[in-house]
Amino acid sequence: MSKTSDSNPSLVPASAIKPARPEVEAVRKQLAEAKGPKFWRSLEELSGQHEAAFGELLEREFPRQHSEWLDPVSRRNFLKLAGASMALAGLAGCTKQPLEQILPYVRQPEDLVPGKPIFYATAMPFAGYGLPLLVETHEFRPTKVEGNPDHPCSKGATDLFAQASILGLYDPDRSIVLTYKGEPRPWGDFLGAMRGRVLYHKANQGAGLRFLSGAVSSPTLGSQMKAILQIFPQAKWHRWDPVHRDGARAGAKLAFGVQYDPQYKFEAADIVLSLDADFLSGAWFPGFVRYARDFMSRRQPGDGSKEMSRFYAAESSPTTTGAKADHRLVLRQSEVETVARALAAKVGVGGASTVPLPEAQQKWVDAVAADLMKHRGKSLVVPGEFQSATVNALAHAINDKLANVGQTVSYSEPIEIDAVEHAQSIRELADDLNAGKVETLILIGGNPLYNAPADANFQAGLQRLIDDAAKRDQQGGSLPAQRIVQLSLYDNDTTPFCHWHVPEAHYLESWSDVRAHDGTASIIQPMIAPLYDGKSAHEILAIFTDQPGMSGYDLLQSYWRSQHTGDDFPQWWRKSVHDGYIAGSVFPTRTVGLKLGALPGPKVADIAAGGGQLVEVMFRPDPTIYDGSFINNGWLQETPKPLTRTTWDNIAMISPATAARMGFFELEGETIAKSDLEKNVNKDHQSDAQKKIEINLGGRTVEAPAWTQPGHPDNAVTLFFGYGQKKTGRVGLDRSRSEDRPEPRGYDAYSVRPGAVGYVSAGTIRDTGKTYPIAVTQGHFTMDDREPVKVATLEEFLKNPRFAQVQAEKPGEKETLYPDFAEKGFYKRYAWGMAIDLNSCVGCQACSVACYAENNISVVGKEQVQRGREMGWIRIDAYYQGDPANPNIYFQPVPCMQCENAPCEPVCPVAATTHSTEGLNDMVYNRCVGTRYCSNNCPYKVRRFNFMLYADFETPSLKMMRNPDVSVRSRGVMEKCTYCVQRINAARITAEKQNRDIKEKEILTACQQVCPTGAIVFGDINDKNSRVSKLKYPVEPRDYSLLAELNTRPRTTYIAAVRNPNPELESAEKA
Amino acid sequence: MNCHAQMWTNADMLAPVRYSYRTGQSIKWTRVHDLPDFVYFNHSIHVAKGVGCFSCHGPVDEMPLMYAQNTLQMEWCLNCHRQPEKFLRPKEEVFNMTYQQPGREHGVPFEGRMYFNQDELGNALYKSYNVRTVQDITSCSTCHR
Repeated sequence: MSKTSDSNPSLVPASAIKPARPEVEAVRKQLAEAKGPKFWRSLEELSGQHEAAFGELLEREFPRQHSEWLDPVSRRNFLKLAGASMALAGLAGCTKQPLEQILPYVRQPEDLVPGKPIFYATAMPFAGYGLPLLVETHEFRPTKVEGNPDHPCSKGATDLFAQASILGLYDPDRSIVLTYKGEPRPWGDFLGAMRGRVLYHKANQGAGLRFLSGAVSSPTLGSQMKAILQIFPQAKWHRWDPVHRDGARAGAKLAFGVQYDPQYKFEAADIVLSLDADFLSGAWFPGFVRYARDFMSRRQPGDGSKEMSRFYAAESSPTTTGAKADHRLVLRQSEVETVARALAAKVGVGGASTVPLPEAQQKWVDAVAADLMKHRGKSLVVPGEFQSATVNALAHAINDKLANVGQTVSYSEPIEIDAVEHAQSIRELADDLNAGKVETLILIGGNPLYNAPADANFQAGLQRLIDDAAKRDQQGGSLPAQRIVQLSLYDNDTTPFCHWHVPEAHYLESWSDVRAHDGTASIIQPMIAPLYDGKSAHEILAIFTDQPGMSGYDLLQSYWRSQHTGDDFPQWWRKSVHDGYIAGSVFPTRTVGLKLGALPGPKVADIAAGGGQLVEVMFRPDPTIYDGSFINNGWLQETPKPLTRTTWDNIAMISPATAARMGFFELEGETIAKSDLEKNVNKDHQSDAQKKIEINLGGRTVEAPAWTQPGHPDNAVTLFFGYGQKKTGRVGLDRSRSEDRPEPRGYDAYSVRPGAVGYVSAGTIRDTGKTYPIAVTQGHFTMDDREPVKVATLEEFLKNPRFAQVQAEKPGEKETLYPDFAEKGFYKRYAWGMAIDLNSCVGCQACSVACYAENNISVVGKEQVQRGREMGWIRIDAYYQGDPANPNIYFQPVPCMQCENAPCEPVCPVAATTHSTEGLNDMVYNRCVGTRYCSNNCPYKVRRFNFMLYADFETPSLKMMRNPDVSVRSRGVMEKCTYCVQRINAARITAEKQNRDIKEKEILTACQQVCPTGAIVFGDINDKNSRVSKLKYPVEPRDYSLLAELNTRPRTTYIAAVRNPNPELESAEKA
Repeated sequence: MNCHAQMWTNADMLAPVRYSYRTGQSIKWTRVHDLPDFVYFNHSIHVAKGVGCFSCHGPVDEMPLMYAQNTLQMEWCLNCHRQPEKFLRPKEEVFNMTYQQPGREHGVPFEGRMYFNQDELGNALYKSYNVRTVQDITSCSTCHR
């Protein structure tokens, strides 16, 4: 039986799909001939090479949907699951419900109404900073994270990591038991063992006692750190975040003599220049959520009160920040420094030596410098966190020279407590470990064995400590043996090298505190008791301050008692916990004086010196997995990474020209013959299989799938952190080849990253001749060549504000065969609608992950994504325009359009998708029989089908996570966005009970609520005063419908993008 | 425990309740009025719009052991959603288990007027309580999402 599907010639395993190779020259030629704005989604589409296959793809709703269970693993799983569901079917019948039991509270908690969510304030610590949150809890189970609307650093918005942290809490693969050498032990044993260490180190002043943590901004943790270093004067506290900010820290020191943290005011800036700063998508950029909103508040061309700002980006590895730039200069990472030097010299900063720039770069620098100088006091230069100290220092100096300090940027004390250089700190620890100077090592979170610098010999160091301990254990005697203690959420690569492993409490389970990027302190309060008896860092450290067993709550309160010494402490405490932040704790602005020191020269070898062999190797955190700490998070694995739209893997990014130089674009390749390509019936518009390249950095090598990214600098490659972990949970490991012996997912970029390198170095790349399948969603659910994105320059917009109304075919309003629901009495009270501002959307994917959390969307896995079966209800299409070397990039979030003339509705044979009186296209899951006609008929391709039983109905912890207000969909059911109808219903019931209308902003859809830039607005279009009504044509001239020529009359419409290019630079670029 | 802290403090029937109170362990009740997981029902809105307990749960006060008086199947729900005026009662009467709909000999007062006909009363309640239109409350997403 198993052979039948395999022998079918039309069925090819996803892994066997060969790459498509467009020709760069053909692409260029086609572009040159194209008239008007031409948008493309991938190089394959642009080259028009696969038009036949592309046509086939359009006809077939879900690419490769016929090929269902090809690899033996999936088929076996399916049979197992089918067996289970058939057994259930027998039990349940179809008329009578199976008996269910209810367990009421014996003592009903105060304020709790079962079924009514309660929101509590807290904050999520991430990358050393806190993001203030409100967490929705159902019967004290946290189910959804929202931003704290009262906090200026959130204003209700969050990022994708905060959204996905709910899944992290309930992750069934979290570490669940305290162990000693792999054996479970009670907490008391651990306390006893640690007591021995404490007494020993008290006697020797703490010599050999070491701590390792990431950047600390928790005031309580900081005070514990201080106390411990007082008790043990010889102890050392090391810091290591693989995604560290050493360059930014050193840059500030270089500019001011001491470290200050910049606080930007994007809303006051007319001209913004980014020097490789990713402040619009990198959630690790301190203040991202707030900055994105502030920045976008100045990008509204229709807003008469404020002039639209202009944004220049000098950028290396492409980010969504660069995609929003009016002018993006593509540079290698080291070139950003030369450009920064030239700019500094141009605006009059002394001391910056310059080298001659290529002509194009010089023109760019001249124009930008002129524009900056024209806007003294109203411009802003933002340096990148991954850039060198020199670039950071120069940015501060330029801002100072342009009188921007105090206007668009101010400075505060550093948020990080006792900031040190991470690369050096981990180096010292590794050296001391290898020298046998460490006797007790306490690892607070982190995974140093995996992510420590490749040249630090960290593993050997830990091994030496373990060997020494084993020797001493054998000898016995009076001296207690050395110990390594790990506090961690997961059993990770470091765990086998630790004596003690203590499960860490998730931030939603523990008391703590943290500072936001502006210094405002938030109390982190738990939403739920620790699921697995995890401990917080405070509780571990209390052992060393002679407070063993003291609860996190007591530790936290005792610290804050020392800070707020009034009789009103209980009230103050309650208010601070309730509000989610401590009033007045924002760091005051410091007056800084520029003392620009001698700028260190470039660290990176000039790649030209390598005779054309060298390329620049740039390191970046993965856009969704970050430094690797989210490797086991299915939502973050499956949500497509911005720009590349890849999932489940990290890639090595190269430019189209570099790819061509490596021969990836030649039709007659060596490894794949042309005939193979033709034989491959499953070749599609977006190829999945990518060439594997080998990156060699000073003798260390790693193989990674190459990804040709339009807009990437030439002769450079970007490697992404986070993947390649050997020991993690079921999501983070790849079981596609063997169920029993899982392999690491993706490649490990840390394995070639020496400590001194930071984020850039020079190395070589070569084609390995192998290919590797990547699950990429860019080609899925495509709408063909129909100009879905509309764009104009500011000048064009001012000339013709209604530019977006131009369309090829304009059907009459009544020109339709669909029933007229308005005539039938629909839409009388409320008519829900949405407006999505393409100008504001930064493509950060927060909405997509929020939708997973709110609507119980299933994760399908890499293999299924390759088949085009991802379930995300809101996809963010990326469109490119112009030269692949440096295209303009636009993002378009596409949820269900909720058409008034909905093509999906009349074709459903069982009326499972129907029109509601408020204009929603309701989706009745229990009625759906899975014909998929609706999806076939949907021009926007926003419906998702459960080809298999994707939803996990069995794992207990995941049941607790689900939103109880939304059905969990089973196999064979179509699903789609419904404007968060559960939220509409909840608000409507509340309003009806009070006999009033639903108020503006009472309903926020999940995607709207999370959006940092407020790009998504939802509301009642019957109410002429609602925000959404004001964003519809003709009040908002830029408003347009997607595929308006189909006359589907979608309720979701788009506000066309407007760019604000510099006329001088634009003419230069055109010439 | 409430009342049973005073009354029938030793009744055998209530032993599980006392055990639960003593140990803090919930009693495992069998759910009699159980809707499928894909149906979303909100009590408060029904109570606020004048749907009596009796209308769905039947004469609970006369049930020695709870049973489901009505099927709670979709058609039965729709029977009311399609013609709510036939079932509505004044809000004060929602919890009244002996409430009788108005008839020729039996009047029900509402807003200062005596009603002797359910259709008239129902329509008056329907207007006064701002119940949504039948089209509205028979939209699929009212109950399914």
